[in-house]
Amino acid sequence: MDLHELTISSFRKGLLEKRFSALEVTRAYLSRIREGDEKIGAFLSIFEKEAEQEASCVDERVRKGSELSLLAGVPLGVKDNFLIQGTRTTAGSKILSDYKASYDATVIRKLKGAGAVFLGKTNLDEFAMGSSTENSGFQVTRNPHNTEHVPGGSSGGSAAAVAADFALAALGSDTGGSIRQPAAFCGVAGLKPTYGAISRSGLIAMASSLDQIGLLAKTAEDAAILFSEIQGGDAYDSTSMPDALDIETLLRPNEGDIKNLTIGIPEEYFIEGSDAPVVRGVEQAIERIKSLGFKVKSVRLPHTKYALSTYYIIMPAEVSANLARFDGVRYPGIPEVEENVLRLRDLYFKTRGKGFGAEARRRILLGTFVLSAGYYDAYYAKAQKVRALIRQDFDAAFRKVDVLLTPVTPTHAFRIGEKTDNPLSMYLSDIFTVPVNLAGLPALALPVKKYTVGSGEFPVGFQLIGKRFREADILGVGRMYEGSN
Amino acid sequence: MKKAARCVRLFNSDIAQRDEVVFLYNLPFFGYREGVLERKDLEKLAELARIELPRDEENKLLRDLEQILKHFDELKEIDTAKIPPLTGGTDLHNVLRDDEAAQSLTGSDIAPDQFPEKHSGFLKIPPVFE
Repeated sequence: MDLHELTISSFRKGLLEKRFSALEVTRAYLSRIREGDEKIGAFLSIFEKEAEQEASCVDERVRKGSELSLLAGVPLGVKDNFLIQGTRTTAGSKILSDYKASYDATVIRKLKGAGAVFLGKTNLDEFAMGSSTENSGFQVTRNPHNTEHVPGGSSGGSAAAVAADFALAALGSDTGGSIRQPAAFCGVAGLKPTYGAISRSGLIAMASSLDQIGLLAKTAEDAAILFSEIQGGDAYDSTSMPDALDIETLLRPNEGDIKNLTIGIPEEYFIEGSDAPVVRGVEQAIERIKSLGFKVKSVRLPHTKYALSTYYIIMPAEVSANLARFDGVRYPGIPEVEENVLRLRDLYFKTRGKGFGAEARRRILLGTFVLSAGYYDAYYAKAQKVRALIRQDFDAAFRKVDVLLTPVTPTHAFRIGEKTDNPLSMYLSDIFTVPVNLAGLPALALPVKKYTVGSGEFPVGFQLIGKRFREADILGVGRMYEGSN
Repeated sequence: MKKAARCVRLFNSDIAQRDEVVFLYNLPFFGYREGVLERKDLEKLAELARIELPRDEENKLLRDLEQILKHFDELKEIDTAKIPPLTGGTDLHNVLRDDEAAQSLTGSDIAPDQFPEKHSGFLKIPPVFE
């Protein structure tokens, strides 16, 4: 069994044909993590015993010939902003270093029901705020393709784990590109579903009108399988939509229907300032899409250039509200603060001052500013109106085409430390991913070709953006693209 | 203090003075004008957000925030006078359910189990009354 070649569908086949047991595969992953993660830093915690137990249960079911879900025994990484009951859940922040989750996130509950195996919790930028996984309160994660470079972020631990064969797939969250950008940097597939497609109950909130749960996997097919198991409405998240997706076409796309889709190329995403290898890679992807027989059209999304400012006003505003509850009282505090502070006011100030890292503090202050008296209309209210225009752009484009193809990032993975001193330059690298979140659309990042760790190449990705709740379109196009490799 | 006192007086008095309330709401807290954020503005923000800032970080933070706010100025180019704001991620409205008892998210003893400190049946938290 070659972990590098293993996919969710080939794992299931091998399991049912008894070519290997779930326990063997789980142990193989755990030993790879033990040997290799010191260099990468993808995991914050590992559930060795629980993972082996769950895998053994699946093997027992295989022996008995019981029915198995599509994800039975599949070893997964879970970003550390998902709650798994009774386990430490930090969101990458010192302020939650002693927090144990008191319930399961809805997606965790679904995955437990499906018999998926959780290998461990993966590293992230603090509260999912960052594009490099350098902002974690605990460790820096490195890109498996070149350990001097970042894996992207904020789901950098999950992306690195899939790329390094530490997990077969992983859960992530995407507020402004946090799944798609690390997927592109690490050469794996990353799906950010439609806003409302997956319940977010039990995901630690960052910016609630933008946050979406999604996943990192090796192929578009694997992404479709994992997505089909975790999607769906839920009473615990009133922004989630019940029965909005057609699971049958998601899992078994009709090639004829997919081929009839028109692909749009938005001019505004091919601007100066992108690195040559990235531009070449995306052009290569467009050529391949054309050679598969897809009709390709140029479209306009005129407000694209305003998306970054809009995003970096709305997101911190919501961050400042969501992170207000971390005050040293409602969640376990920081021992060094608690021991030395007697006044409540000091407890708030010191817990939040010491518990939040520099980027979290910056975003809370920025959010406080744009929401404050006298500036609310100029910044926050203005940004909400521009957000409406950005969404209208997409609506107009989707009257002409079915799927949009764009770059994911202007550059490939940058060096560790390269952008930490200049937050604005870090923010600018999100230019091609944030419009999707502002409009609530689904998007899939795929590697232009197959990248193998150790080849010395920097992966380049491209992005397929779909209509709301039409994940089947982008995953279908993605599967045809991969099939032509 | 002065501002708070004025608010109280307004809210207690005639509703006809509402315009003045709106005016108060629009009164800027900060001195931020045309790209200059001052140290006292940063202190005010930190006060509102209940965050103690490390002294040695303040200058850099000021510069970073100024640079970011300056970038936002590009939004002024767009005429949004007739555009209704997009206030959330979905078009869903009024998601309601029947008022029926159902299984709660977790058993009643699970949340206390995760509490860091307990003392003879009580959950221990920092003092919140002064």
